[in-house]
Amino acid sequence: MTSRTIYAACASGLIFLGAACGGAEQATPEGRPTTPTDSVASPSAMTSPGLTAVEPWARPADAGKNTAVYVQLESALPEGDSLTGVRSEAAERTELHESVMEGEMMRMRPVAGFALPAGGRLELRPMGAHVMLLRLRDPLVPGDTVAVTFEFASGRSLVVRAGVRTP
Amino acid sequence: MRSVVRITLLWFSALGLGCVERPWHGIVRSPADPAPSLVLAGAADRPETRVRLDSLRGQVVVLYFGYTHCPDVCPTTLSDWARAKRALGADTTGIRWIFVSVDPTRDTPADADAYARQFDPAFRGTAPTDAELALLLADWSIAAYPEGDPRTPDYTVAHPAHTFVVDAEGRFRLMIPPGVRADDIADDLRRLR
Repeated sequence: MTSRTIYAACASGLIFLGAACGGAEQATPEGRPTTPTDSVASPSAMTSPGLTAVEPWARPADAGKNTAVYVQLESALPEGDSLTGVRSEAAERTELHESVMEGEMMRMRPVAGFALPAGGRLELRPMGAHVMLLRLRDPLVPGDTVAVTFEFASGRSLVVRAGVRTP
Repeated sequence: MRSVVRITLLWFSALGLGCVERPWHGIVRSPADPAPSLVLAGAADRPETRVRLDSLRGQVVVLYFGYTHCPDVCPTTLSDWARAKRALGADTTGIRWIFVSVDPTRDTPADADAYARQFDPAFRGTAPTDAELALLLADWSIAAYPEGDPRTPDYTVAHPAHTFVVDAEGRFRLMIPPGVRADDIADDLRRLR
């Protein structure tokens, strides 16, 4: 486990407590301590009560092109939920996709939703499930942040600000 | 008696070592036939987008067939290339990194070149004409096709998963699957160079 992961886990725990106490529908951390290993210019975790977004990030891309947003969504809820929608002002369209390898081919398929198990985790990661931003309105360059709203079948939503960086 | 056993064991292990091979991280093609032809005219005003694989003899050529609107797999692969190149250190002469778009409807040779250079200034990109694409897919026995409505701007393209590596003798030696670590890609390329 890297120090960054530990930091993110600690930070998300603290933020989660704050959000739960405040009773806010959506919470964004006010600020964020910096550490030498933390180069992303965005909060590394955001929460809605019971939901935490850990280490969201997006790839740089030119305006008009497509890119992907990755994050680990963690549930502290007693019931399962499903991620069924994504929205972002950064792109003309925003969709849930999954990269799949079929034989020797790589393909991408749109997905209606991904399950988030009770108390479990949904990992959006390179070469797998991801948020696809189609036709970016502006270029995304390292250091930028891009806001994505994750919508769940239960009606919950979570605003995530992903730092733009190269992996 | 114990020393006899020890000597016997040493002898066997020495014998074994003679046969030991270090495994490759990519998929080894056997036999390593000469690489198929790859001739792409590129843009007339951008000579760096012209590719003639047989003129690159003497260099290891790292090839990927993707598209610039690819949000996930292609940038992951080219980022892995960039990390592999950094792992090779300052001296990466003798290795050419070429990204070939298989989406000529949207990608010009200059688009593909600009895309590849985002990942490392040494990477080059190009895009074929429709006719060149048909030829290269046939020559390399690979497939690439649009999915979704190609009349809209948002179609995706199914494309080969692997990075192809041609050695300095022009033989198609390795196919590196997605997910191979950058250090391991570097290790394979170091051995071929």
